[in-house]
Amino acid sequence: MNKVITISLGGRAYQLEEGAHDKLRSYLDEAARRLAADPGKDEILSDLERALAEKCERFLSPAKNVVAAAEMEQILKEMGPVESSAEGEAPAEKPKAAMAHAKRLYKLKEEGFFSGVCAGLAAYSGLDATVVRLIFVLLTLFTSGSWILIYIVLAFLMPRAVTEEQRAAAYGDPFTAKEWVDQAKGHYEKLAENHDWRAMIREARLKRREERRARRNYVYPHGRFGPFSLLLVLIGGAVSLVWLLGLAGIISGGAVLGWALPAGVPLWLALLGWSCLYAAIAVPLRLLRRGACCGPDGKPCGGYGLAASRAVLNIILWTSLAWAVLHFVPGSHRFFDGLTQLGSEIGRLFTAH
Amino acid sequence: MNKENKFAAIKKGLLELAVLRLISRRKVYAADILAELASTEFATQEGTLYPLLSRLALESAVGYEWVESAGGPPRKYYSLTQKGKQQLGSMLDYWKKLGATIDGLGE
Repeated sequence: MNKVITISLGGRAYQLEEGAHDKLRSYLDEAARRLAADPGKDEILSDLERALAEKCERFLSPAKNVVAAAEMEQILKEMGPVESSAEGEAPAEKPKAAMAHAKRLYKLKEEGFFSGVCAGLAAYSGLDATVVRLIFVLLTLFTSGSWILIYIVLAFLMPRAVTEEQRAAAYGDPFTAKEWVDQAKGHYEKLAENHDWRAMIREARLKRREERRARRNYVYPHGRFGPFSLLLVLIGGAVSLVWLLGLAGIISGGAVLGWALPAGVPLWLALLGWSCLYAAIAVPLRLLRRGACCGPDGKPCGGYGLAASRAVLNIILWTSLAWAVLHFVPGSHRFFDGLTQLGSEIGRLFTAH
Repeated sequence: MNKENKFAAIKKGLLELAVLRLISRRKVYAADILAELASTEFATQEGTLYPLLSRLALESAVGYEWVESAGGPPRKYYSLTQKGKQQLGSMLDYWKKLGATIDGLGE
């Protein structure tokens, strides 16, 4: 259910979904900013409004009287960026743009495995997320588990990137020392000239509300939670589970899901072969699901090579994790044996048919 | 990319000439202009066209009249003024001169 906002464009009333309204608002604000020095500014803005109205009509019919956010996005794409034709065009507002892309540490839940801490750190440091995860797993092993506490603390402390701006900031340019100074100065000036703490609280509340709304309206790139992708996630999960069961079987019993390994095959070869088989299934699945991560324009960034290398790194990660757990955690043998038994039960189920 | 950038600068400068020429034929409104330009090298968008039309109107090279439209807001139909016709004529002459000069430089 979406909130609907009624606006007037070119002297006629139009009903827009809240998301569509926000997009339109920011387009017109940006247009007004770019036309600031244009003598025909007001005229052009009302021309643009009429053109927008005409485009909205295209999506409306007696049976449908609300313009959806996706439709507004298409309309604005057709309109194109507003470029002043007058001499001495208003320059782009530099400081704001710089602030918007200044790098911040955020949790990237949408890209993450558990809470997005590693994905956020990866975006911040420029490393691949899988590498960061690997480092975290290794640190956990070397500190015999206590590193997990740091992870939990980070998960609580790091704010989650919700708005597009925050997500851009998570990948953005590093925060420079000058910015620190400028920001501190700004805060100080604000405090010095403005003792009205009520206004500040109100401002903070407004900001929080905006973030909540952005979280609600956040459109997952490539529709991660569409019905089809949910199916892919489930299939991917099942494949991973079967692979883990097989892995456990190989390590503890020398058998994959109930089938004994051929004699003379060393443990590492069996692990590698089983993992390759998994990769052959999981990599295309993952490519389908993620299509590599999407850039702001909705196109895959990094390409399929990167996605494939991520998949391989993930395999190494999980294999080393399984191996490490088996070697360092007492009592895990029994757990793995249990898994193996479960695996062979499933295997028997398949062979019985 | 670089090549396209170079062409983009030339096209940007010539868009005014293309628009003036389109308007000189008959009364048109912005969507007509966009539709006719869409299939040419001068394909452009509302965000660029409206500021240009506004400037031409301020220079009184074009005038417009309001026409009611059935399903939507009223439309502005643009036509060339006397000044606009002169401007178009001198721009066309200059364009031809430029072409001749470029041709001549290669010989």
